[in-house]
Amino acid sequence: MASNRSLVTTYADDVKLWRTGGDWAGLAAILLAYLIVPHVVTSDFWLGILNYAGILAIGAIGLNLLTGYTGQASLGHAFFLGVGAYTAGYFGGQYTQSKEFSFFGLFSVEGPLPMPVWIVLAAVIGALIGALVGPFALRLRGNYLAVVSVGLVFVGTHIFKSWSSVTGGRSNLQVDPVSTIGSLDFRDLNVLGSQYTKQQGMFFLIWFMVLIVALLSKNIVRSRPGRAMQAVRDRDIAAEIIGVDTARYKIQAFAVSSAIAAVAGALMMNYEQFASPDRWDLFLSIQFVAIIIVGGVGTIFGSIIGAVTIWATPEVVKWLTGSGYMPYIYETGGSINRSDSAMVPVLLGTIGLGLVAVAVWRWTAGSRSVAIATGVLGLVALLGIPFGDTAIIGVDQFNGILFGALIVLFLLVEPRGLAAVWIRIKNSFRMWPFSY
Amino acid sequence: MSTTLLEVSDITLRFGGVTAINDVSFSVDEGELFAIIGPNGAGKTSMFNCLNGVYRPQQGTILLNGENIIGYKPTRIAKLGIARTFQNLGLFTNLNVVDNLMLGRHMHMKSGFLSAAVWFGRTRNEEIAQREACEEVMRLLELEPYRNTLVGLLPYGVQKRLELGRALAMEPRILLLDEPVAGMNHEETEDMARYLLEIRGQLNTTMIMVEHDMPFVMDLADRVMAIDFGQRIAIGTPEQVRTDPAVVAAYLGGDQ
Ligand SMILES: Nc1ncnc2c1ncn2[C@@H]1O[C@H](COP(=O)(O)OP(=O)(O)O)[C@@H](O)[C@H]1O
Ligand SMILES: [Mg+2]
Repeated sequence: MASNRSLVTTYADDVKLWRTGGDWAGLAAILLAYLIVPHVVTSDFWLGILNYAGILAIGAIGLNLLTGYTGQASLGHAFFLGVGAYTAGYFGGQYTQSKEFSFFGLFSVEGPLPMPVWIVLAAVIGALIGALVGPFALRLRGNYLAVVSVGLVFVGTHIFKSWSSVTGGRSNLQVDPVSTIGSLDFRDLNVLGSQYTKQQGMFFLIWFMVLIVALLSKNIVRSRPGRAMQAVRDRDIAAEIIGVDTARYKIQAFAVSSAIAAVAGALMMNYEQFASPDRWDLFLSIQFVAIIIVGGVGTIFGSIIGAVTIWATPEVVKWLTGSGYMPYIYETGGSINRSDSAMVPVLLGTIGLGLVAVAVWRWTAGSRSVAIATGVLGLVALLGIPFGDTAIIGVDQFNGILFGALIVLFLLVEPRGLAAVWIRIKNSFRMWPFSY
Repeated sequence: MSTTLLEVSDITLRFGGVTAINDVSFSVDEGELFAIIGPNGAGKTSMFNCLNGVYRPQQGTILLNGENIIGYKPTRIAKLGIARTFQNLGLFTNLNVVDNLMLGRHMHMKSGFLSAAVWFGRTRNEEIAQREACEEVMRLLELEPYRNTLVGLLPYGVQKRLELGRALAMEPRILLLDEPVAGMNHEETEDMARYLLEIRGQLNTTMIMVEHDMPFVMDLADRVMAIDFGQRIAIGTPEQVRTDPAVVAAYLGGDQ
């Protein structure tokens, strides 16, 4: 095994996904985390956040294949989550015991169908609808595509509301898709004598799917179709003249992206056991765009850390607010005057002094603008100490602003997202102690 | 005697009121290095765009091995064996050198989304096999030191060379080179001449080259065609074209 990527000896080594000792350590860490997290983080609250973030991560990987790798912006992603959700509800739903599914008159099976089947069906139906819609959407370029794809969300919501035999229509759909593989019931998991809660079981299921979708997607982007997608993104005329059929790859990328979105939607239905047609709205689409911007456009890994960041940040703010740790912020529906916790002045003082210290450090290092910005923030925090228990903004409003601020911050400061930040950190350790 | 590989007859290309190419004909033999010269705006790049299907001329025929390729899409023409480099570089700058070369091998590969997602089996074997073809190109053009470098970070001269490499990786029957040494210093120009000679020697690839650097053209080309304002003004051996009164006039009157 080569210890360093620039010292690879054969091509077989070179095409390996895990090449160096560091790569293998990373894989081991991921697998260990997968097994350990649900044992350590046992609270339903925190596991719930991770589970929902995992579902978003899968959807975000799908959008990143289309937008990040193929360069086609889309705001229609939420529609395909809806498609997947109702596919799962229809084929896997347990409230429809006596249902019989006839496949093109060729054969028929008794419902509900097993989990692997409804997951695959969601992917297939998502891909088919994506391939059907793709040619219309992809005649348009760049921003036009983004605008028109919004229409998909509105048309979709309308269809979901009207087609009530499948979607429950306005009265919403409550289902309980089969959530078992063999003897493993992920809602009531019992392995090797250990009993797990629903959230723990869901963690194992959802994050298993995250890892699988990430691996399959990584394989796509590192081989022929993925390179073709990136060629389409970077220079479409050059792509054509080397024999890459750009129209075909755009449609295929759209289909694959829709298939993955549908899998995320199916898992969401399975997780929430409930779906309303308004669930698959423009805001959900925008959330996915925010995830790939913050996580890193054109990276699989970034889709995952972006999803966790975008989903967990407001939840953590809410939790801190509820626990009385957030200065200036009040709980929506709660009282404006928080119970006075000694934590607030301590927190403000620590943050304020920390920021001022960073400001001084950056000033001496010569980056004046960063120094001024952090200095002002630090002073605001310090000046707030006497007023720390006077809340001025509701937590939902604050989270709305935070959501926008995160997007703008990354677009301006690090357009390549958290993934690029992570790589910088990793590289500074890679050659250690021989960093030069 | 050599056989004709490409036969261009009476090509006319207009953009609205502008006639970029006006009734131009020429033919290129198998294994030949044919050069097109002419002042800026003469229509040289437009001719390349007609040859690989980016533009569709209003009039004329382009016979590749006897088959009229006018109206074919660029991808189809690529499959028939016409490769090209761009005057202003057409590389995929967010990918590394190997990936750019592998994209040159795109037509020689088969993996679709499903087999790629599975990876093991067809896709892995294909990746390894095609990697070797790319290594050969890198060896020929001395690109090995840059193997994993992001293309956007490479010096201009190396990018020009890599673009030639990507075209070569396609294993084309005809290589179209649009100003391969434009913007290069003396040393880089000499290197490029050496690479082109090596490609001819080893692969016997037919080439059509657009270039302003006269000594470069005179040294390398078998035959030269001069165009001005979209019209052919001379064709023949480098010596004939260089001393042709119309060519001399075009170059003195033009901006070169
Ligand atoms: N896409 C286009 N639209 C309009 N005019 C064009 C286009 N491409 C080229 N032309 C015109 O055709 C003429 C020839 O251009 P070009 O082939 O690029 O010249 P050269 O490569 O010889 O310098 C120029 O007058 C140019 O403005
Ligand atoms: Mg030109």
